[in-house]
Amino acid sequence: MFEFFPPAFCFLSAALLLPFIPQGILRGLFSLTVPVLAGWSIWTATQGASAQTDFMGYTLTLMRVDGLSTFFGLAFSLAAFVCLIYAWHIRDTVQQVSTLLYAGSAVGAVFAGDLITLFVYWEGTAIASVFLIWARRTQGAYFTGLRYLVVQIGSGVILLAGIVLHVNTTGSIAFDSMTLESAASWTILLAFGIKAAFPFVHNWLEDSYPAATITGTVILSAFTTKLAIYALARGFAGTEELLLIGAAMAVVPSLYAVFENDLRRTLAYALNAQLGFMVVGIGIGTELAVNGAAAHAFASIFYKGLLFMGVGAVLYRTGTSKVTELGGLAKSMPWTMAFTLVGAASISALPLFSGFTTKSLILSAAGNAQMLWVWMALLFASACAVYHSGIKIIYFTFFGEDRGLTPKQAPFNMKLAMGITAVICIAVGVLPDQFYGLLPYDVGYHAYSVSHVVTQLQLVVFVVLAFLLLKNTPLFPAPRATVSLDTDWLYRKVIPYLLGHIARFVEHIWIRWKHDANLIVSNAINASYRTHGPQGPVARTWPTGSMVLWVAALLGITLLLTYI
Amino acid sequence: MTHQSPSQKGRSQSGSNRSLWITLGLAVLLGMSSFLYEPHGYFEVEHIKGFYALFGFVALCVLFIAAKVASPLLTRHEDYYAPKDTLSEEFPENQLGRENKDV
Amino acid sequence: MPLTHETAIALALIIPFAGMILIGLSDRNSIVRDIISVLTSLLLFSVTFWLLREVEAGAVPELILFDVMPGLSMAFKIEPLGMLFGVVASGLWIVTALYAIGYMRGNKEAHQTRFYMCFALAISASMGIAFASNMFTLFIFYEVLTLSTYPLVAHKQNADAKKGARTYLSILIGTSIGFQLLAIIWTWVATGTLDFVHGGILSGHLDDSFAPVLLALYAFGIGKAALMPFHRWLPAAMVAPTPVSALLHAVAVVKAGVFTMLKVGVYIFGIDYLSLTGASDWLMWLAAASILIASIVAMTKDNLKARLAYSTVSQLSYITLAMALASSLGVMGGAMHIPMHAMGKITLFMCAGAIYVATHKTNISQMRGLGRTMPFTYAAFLIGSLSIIGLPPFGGAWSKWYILLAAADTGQLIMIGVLMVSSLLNVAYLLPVVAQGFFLPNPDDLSEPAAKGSISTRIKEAPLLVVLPPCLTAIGCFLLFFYAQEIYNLLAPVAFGPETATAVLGGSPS
Repeated sequence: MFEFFPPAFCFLSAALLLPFIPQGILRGLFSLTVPVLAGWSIWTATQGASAQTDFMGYTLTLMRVDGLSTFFGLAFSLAAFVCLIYAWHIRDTVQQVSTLLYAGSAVGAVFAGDLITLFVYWEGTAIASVFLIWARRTQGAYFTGLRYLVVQIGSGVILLAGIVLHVNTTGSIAFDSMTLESAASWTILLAFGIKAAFPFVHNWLEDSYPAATITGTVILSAFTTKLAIYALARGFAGTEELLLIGAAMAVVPSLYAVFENDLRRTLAYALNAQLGFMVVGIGIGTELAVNGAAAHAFASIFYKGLLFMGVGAVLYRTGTSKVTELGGLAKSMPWTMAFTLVGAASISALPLFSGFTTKSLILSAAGNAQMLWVWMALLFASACAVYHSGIKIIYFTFFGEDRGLTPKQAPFNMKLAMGITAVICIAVGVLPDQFYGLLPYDVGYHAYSVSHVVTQLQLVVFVVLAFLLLKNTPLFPAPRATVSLDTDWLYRKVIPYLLGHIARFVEHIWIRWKHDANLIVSNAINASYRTHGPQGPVARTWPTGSMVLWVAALLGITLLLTYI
Repeated sequence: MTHQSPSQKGRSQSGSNRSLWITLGLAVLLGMSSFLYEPHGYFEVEHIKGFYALFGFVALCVLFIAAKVASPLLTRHEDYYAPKDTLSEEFPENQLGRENKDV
Repeated sequence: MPLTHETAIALALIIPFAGMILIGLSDRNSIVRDIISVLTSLLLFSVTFWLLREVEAGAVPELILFDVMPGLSMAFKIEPLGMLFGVVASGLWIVTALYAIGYMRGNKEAHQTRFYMCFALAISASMGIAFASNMFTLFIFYEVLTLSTYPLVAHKQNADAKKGARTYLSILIGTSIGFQLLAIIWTWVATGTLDFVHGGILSGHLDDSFAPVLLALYAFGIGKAALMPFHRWLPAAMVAPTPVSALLHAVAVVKAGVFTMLKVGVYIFGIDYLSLTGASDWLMWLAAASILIASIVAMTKDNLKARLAYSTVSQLSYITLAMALASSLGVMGGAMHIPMHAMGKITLFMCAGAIYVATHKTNISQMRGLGRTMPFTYAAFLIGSLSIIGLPPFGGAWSKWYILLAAADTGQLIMIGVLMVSSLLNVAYLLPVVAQGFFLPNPDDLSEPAAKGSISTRIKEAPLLVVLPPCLTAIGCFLLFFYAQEIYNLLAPVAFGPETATAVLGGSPS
């Protein structure tokens, strides 16, 4: 049936086996072999291969191996590997199983060649991932998980509606490039957009990622949004509407990232802004730009993962990830600081780090297309990223005001995972040509030129300079213990408030109506009891007795009706 | 919350001053280097000498001002969404490996 | 002795009936009684399964008992839709029979013999409904089903049970006599026949402007389909012991309702006639409202069984909606929803019962943290919920797929929206149960660290016979996703017309 075993099945079958393997080293090693096997099978798969199966009258393409899917498949397998090392110390079967299911669904979705398969895995990522939030086992996480799940499954059902419309109009279930001319493609774009955290439907990301467990946040940050980026690149490359969406996405979350107090939520906003870069790349749609989106997705998985890992390690040892409670950890957690610095340097796009070689692809593509405003927006977002993901994370955690915290170093497995991720970040920055060779399209692009290196250094250094100068002035937005109001304010405060009032009003009317109606009905029932039949415990004769009477009466009405 | 000895505070102050001076030096060097090569860019603006430096500096100022203006409107106390939010609760202790350094 | 079609149909009706008598005779010996109950269900299922194979091979088994008057007879004729209903009801009876033993013993319920007898009788009536060849036969068995389940609802014999049972009976009997019988007589007067004929019997015999009226009489007359506003009997029936709620009020009785609804749509009116006259437009809107309102009401219910009951009301309206869309794909989706929803909902009810047996808790707010002590029950509940929501890889995804396709096909974009919102509402009222069970601390369990002992010491599940059946049906939900093709092939003649049967059976439908 298949030319080869779909790598997603490696993950899914391993997830089913996992609970039967004894907790500890054996289970850890078992789960680590899964992404290795999957990655190997993706690496060795021949381009253009596919695995199809006939089901319910449709030909489902479980595997479509081409440049784009291979690249994302490899990225996800590698990410799963690193995340599993980071989560080595976790002894919670629920989290372990859901990690494998989640990663497997993401890999499966990337290789899905048709919309039905895509939908199946799309929902798979939604359900599997929510357990990483609930696994925190607190009331807040429970509610946050529910909100997350409704949005994620909402994205899935919108996708389903889009697919149904698409199938109805075109008769095809193939997942290929689409144009925004029908209700179907708009609906599908909306579904993708929710998972890609488009403006106004983005808030699930910032709401839920900081609520997950320490390892859960790292795992969550790798897959869902990047899957959406893949889906957009596959379906909507070159869609002009994405330019504006992406530019807005890159800029607005940056603002929130500045005054957000929780570092994991700061990183979630930063992640959202980075997604904006990729969406712009897809909107430009040239081979260079889509390459850039893919490359930046790859880089973002790892540098963002690295930052989440660093903050997670701090949270693991200190019990907090809030700016107002952290500071001065450079001495006690030097390795964590070093690795987090690599992540910060990467997102700041310093030369020799991954952001430098990937972000520039998108900026160059915008330049080639002479889109000045889009380019300016991205440049602005780049400058902001230097502050909120580079300076803010590093400065307030490891330097800044000393809070007297003297935590122990992060556990070895966390350091190892951070180390590997840091190596990946540097490798992408140092060996751009080899990395570009993996990208979906063949584009001759050279990241390192004097001009590019100098200008990028200028940007970063002057942002740092501005920060150091402004730090002690009233202009500086000093951290405060607050929560930021975002679009979730609407559905967490405004709508419940309005609904509460409406509900009370309706209830009032309902109770009165019910009272009147009950009176009428009970009178009628009492009357009928008096006239018909005995009232035995099993009142069998009552209905049959009255049946004859009713039939006669109704027959009369029927005859009347037919002769009108 | 924690008491800081004056010497500690002084040390961090001097460290911060040192990093400011280093950054300033780097910035000047990089600013100067704009004049040493012929920039190639996609837009007119990129040919302005020191465009990126200026852009970075201004961008952060704009960002800070925007944040300063927006934050009173867009932030509330931590307990605003409690209890349906994780921000208002402690991270569960049994999931932490909270250990202090052996002193 | 080779089994003929006639004897097989007769057996399907007689086996549960004979089982009922044997159960009554073995009142003294509870073990024998329970064994008879399980054996009867197995025997019945083997007969219906044999019939299924025959129907799949293209046969149309028939049995005519006697003529009531010229043109009207007590007769049975198995078409694919009825076959599907028959297999679902009899197949799930096996797991419920096992479950009932564990549940009734676990709860030390009284009057168990009466309970099993009525149960068997209800199954017998369901078989009659499934295999009826005309509206008259169907109606007779429909009433038998109502009456035979009344003692089951009133089983506890306390004030609550009697009140619930009275609502149950008065609504079901009231609507069926008041509207359905009227509709049947009207149909008879107009057409001179009550036989189920593919494509309908009304076309050409009924003024088009009366079609919506007649449909209304049927739709409200089939009270078992729990279309709002005649849905109150279903939550009221939740006072019954859980096996009754599980099989009868998630499978046999309510599915008899929507099955009748589909029968009326396909075989009395005919899909083309409905679509031509637009007679079912209003029904579509009412079903949509029913879906949403019942879901919202379900969210407000803290009693788990009441929440599941309103969920059933909502899900039944999926099938009514599918029929009212008046499209072949809708019939496919609606009919497919019968087994898919049955498997999912019976799982949920059996889990609710398992929780009750183990802890005597009925309210969701009391069930925090129970998932850690009852992981199998809660895992089954999760799978059942996902299937009800319509998520892959569980059976419910396919029926929803076809209903959505039908809505797209008929251009009813709002109905697509309704189904989407309904999915989200399903998430909102089903998954909190699981999440609270697994991830919130148990308030009773003050010694939380002690509860973190090894898994074997922590687990306090209900008895095996109560836990195993929902686990089996949960696996069933998963398998149905992959066996949907078989159901599709079986139903293709109903949805797309008999002439497509051979084409579809041969290869893949396009």
